[in-house]
Amino acid sequence: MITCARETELWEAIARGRWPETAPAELRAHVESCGTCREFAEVAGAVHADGIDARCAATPPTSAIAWWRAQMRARHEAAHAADRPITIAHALAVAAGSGLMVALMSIVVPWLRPFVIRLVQSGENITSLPTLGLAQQWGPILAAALLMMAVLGPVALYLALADD
Amino acid sequence: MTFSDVQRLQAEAGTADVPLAMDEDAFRAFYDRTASPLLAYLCRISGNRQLADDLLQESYYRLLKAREVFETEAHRRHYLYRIATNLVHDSRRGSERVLHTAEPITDIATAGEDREGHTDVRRAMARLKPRERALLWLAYAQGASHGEIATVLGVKTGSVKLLLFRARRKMAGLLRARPNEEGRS
Repeated sequence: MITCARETELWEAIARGRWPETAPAELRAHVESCGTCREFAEVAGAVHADGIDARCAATPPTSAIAWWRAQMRARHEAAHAADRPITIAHALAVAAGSGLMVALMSIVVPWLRPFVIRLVQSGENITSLPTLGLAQQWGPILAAALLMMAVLGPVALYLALADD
Repeated sequence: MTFSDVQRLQAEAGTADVPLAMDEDAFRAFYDRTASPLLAYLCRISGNRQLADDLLQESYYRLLKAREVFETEAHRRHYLYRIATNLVHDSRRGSERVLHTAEPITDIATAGEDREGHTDVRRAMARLKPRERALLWLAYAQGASHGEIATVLGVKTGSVKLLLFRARRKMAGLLRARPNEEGRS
């Protein structure tokens, strides 16, 4: 890295808008003869001048608009954060409903099993089996009720918990 | 907490003033002092005016949401610039919206009088890496000290001088090169 002791002095002149026209002749002569300072003046002077132009041309939104947007966004985020407990309640309700369904099925399936096996394995008159008589009578109704619960349960839950 | 509690909280969140790190008067005064140079900075290092506008709003919002305690205005300003710089880097990683081509950046200073030299500067800047642009801009357009540059860019103060020297050398080379030579390099 090559540096020159007069870079600071040169930067002062650039930053104060004195370079090159109103800078001391001696400094200008030095820059002419010093490659490091010439490069510094070239780059720093160009970027400095471009910076002034860019700041003049920059038109940010007014502070009132910026504040209003920030407020709106903060409120939106706060409302979103307040939504989280409801989302958690939905998830818990669905989980509880699913658990209930599984529990019911585990009770009902063993009860219906002999009837179903018998029905599949033979075409015999199942009404002759006394233990299966009740299953034949109530089984389809119970199965239909469970099916309806599985389908309509989540819909009812959604309607109950929906905002509007 | 019951559902009615949650609904009440939701309603309040939708209408009430949300506490931010600054009150309105302090924010607006700070914004008025810093928004123009910050927008110019964002335009130059991102190379994209639309993106710069978005990042400007995002930078101030993150500042307002920050839990930092700022002892001085300079500390707050450096923090703001650091947020802005990180956002530009994140957006660059996330998409290809940031210019890093030989095309001149013509967004911000083309409104109004433009000089040929400034077009060359923008063209040369567009060919630098974002960190090199940020270094040169902070040092020579904003007049930031090495310590301030280090804070904004998240580098060691001692390494700023060398990084700046390299960026300056590269920029000088680009300024001397003609546009068609740049295209080939």
